[in-house]
Amino acid sequence: MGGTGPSKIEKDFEQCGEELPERYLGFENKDNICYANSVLQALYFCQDFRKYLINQKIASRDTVMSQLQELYITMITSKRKTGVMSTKNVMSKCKVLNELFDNDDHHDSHEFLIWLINRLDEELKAQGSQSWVQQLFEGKFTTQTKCLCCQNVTHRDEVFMDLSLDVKQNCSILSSLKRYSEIETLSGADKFYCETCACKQEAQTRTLIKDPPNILICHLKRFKYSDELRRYTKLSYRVAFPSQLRLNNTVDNCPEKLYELFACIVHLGPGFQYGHYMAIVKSHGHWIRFDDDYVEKVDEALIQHIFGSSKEIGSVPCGYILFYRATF
Amino acid sequence: MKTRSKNISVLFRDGISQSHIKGVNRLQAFENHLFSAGRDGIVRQYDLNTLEIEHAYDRHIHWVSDIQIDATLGLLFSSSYDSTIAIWSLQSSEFATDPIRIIENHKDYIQTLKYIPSQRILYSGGQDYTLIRWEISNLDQIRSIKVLNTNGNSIWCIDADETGELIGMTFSNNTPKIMDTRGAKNFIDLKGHTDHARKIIISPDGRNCLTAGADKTIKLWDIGTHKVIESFHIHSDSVNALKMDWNTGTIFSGDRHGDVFKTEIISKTSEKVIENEFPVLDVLGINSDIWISDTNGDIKTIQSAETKTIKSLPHINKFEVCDNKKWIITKNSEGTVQTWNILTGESEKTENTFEEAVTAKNSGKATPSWFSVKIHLGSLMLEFSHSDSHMAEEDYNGKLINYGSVFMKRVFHHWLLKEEQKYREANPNAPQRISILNEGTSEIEKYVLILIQIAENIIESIYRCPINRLDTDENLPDIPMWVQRLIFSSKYKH
Repeated sequence: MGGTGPSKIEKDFEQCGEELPERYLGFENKDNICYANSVLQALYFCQDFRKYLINQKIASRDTVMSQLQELYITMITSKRKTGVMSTKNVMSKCKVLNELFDNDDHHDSHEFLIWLINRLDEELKAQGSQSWVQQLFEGKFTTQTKCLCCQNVTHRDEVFMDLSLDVKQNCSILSSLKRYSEIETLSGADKFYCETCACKQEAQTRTLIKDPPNILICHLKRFKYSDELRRYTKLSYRVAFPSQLRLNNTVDNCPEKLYELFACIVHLGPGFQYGHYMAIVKSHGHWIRFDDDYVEKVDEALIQHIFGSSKEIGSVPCGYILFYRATF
Repeated sequence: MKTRSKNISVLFRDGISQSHIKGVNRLQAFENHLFSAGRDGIVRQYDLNTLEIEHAYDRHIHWVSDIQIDATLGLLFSSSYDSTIAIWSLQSSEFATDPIRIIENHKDYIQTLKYIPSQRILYSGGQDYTLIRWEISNLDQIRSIKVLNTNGNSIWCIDADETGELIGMTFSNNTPKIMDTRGAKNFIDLKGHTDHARKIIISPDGRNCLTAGADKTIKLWDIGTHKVIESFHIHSDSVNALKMDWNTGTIFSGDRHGDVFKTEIISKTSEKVIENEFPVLDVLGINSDIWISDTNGDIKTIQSAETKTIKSLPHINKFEVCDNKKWIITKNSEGTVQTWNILTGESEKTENTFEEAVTAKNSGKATPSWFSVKIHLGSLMLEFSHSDSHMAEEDYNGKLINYGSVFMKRVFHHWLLKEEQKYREANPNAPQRISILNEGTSEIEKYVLILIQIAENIIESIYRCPINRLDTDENLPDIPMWVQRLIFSSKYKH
């Protein structure tokens, strides 16, 4: 952009009489990459992620890791505190490695986020480095299954990089987490094979979080496939999420973690094939909105406006992916 | 159009043992007889005083879950996880009797039975979410009505008052219900248990009931007010066995830890009478004697401070099929390891560990699977179906040996002899059709054949017969075509 005069974000800070605490740079978008731009901004404002990535010794330039590191370093060392950057190099590498993104189509921001995190994790391990990506994002949940006949409980642990939560009208993250860990009964044709009884039995099963991650990513399942319409539709339900969160679906002796919201990827529009993503991040106590190249300071009250709408289908901006950091 | 299939199972169990193997789900007493319902599929009848076995009722192919008795007509009813109810005559002179009727209406495990002698009505409930009412007055025409469909809640226990007007039920949830059969099926919810409510007993006069369950409590209710009169917190684990003597106000209860308590309601005092090694499944109070059954299959009684036990036999609780699909290694509840030769039916104990035995019989070469294994009855049961029984073959000195073919020929050996005799009588000049007739008998003949007709995962009918009686049994149904192809195929001349 590079135009004359102060940008919106500069004007916003001028109005409060404050200096920009750090650089706030937008990303240009010429080919529908807002789904990726919002992810790259959210991760940039994850302090630990930024720190580890910038300081990482990288063996091969032929990696997403190296392109992303270059982008972040350019951002940190930029002469101007505001402006617009190009994410061309990072995106080229992504498009080469994953043909799903190798076009000008809209994509699901969550799909990109998970692919990117897993890709970075692979690249770190491939070069023999410790994966700080795993340390930051990986949590563990355990599925407990109780045979109703002999009442023995079997456990199965699994790791996760994010939690995908179902949404209902007027629910909250907390109620969605509770529903995630609800007791489900396995009966009828879906009976559970109990090793102790040596036959199929009715059982109750539930999934609880055993090791909460340092960075908790909550993905709201707003895109649902409709059999009737034969395509994905967006559920714009109002889902309230708090700035501070304590998990309510953990095992009994689980380490307690208090989480603080630091970023949110918002989706606007009627569906993921026709829509727009932006990122809202918390930086030095301020909330900043990154809408591709347009950057502005926003009021904390805006968070409430992106909970969703009272109608099931709609185009209103909805919080879609929430990023929480564990504070101790 | 329902897809129907006929599957064959062979139960590798030789005869009927005197005691149970695996758990005993239920105990009932009648005159001086004790009846026990086993997870080995058999109901046994013992003399209450001598503990000698009198009869065995062997028909079910899965756990027997409950037994009820009609004293006047001398009938025994048994329900099973095989989704059938069998009706037996108590007056048979044979040791092992066949049922006089089998009723097949449930579509999943039957969990509980309750018989109302005054009305000759039998109620059954189970995991197909239905409660069925059977009229037993005419054994040749047993009418049934589906009384209740619970919309996704399995029925665990049923009881009734003397007249059968009030039916009490527990489900797979925490809230038992009382149903008044007189009115427009009014239901009373008994709210109070904080975990799975498993057992319910209704007083003969229908005024009170007793419930117990996984929240370790026993609760006494007033049915009229739907309220808990008394809650007993005496157990340290889930209460799974419950009986009540309403005349003396005495509760007998057993839990998953193995403890059995006797509680006097009026004085609210409890006494631990047995500390059992295994979880208790059922409890009975007969005069001043207490009887219990447990998950190991033992039946114990305490009679004036003396303990007498009908000790169970060990059951198979672990198996592995070797890669050549000709050997199965098993381990039982006593730790004994056995090797089974599937094609001959022979088994042998071995001093090897389980893992050593598997390695010893493996050949390092994988053969396709031609059967599946079940051990729910505590014995080895092999299941065969049309989809894969023909899959395992071996080249033996230039001859093609098909395991399924060899096995089925041995199972139907006597039947084949009879068929061949009939064929030869009709075609005197024809050559012998199959060379199996030159072979002698095999150990497989000691075992039991089960023929199941299944439509979309629901058992429609069950036929069972000891293999050595297949040629004389008049009720033998048509042998499934896929089995006949295996037996008569010219490919497998050997």
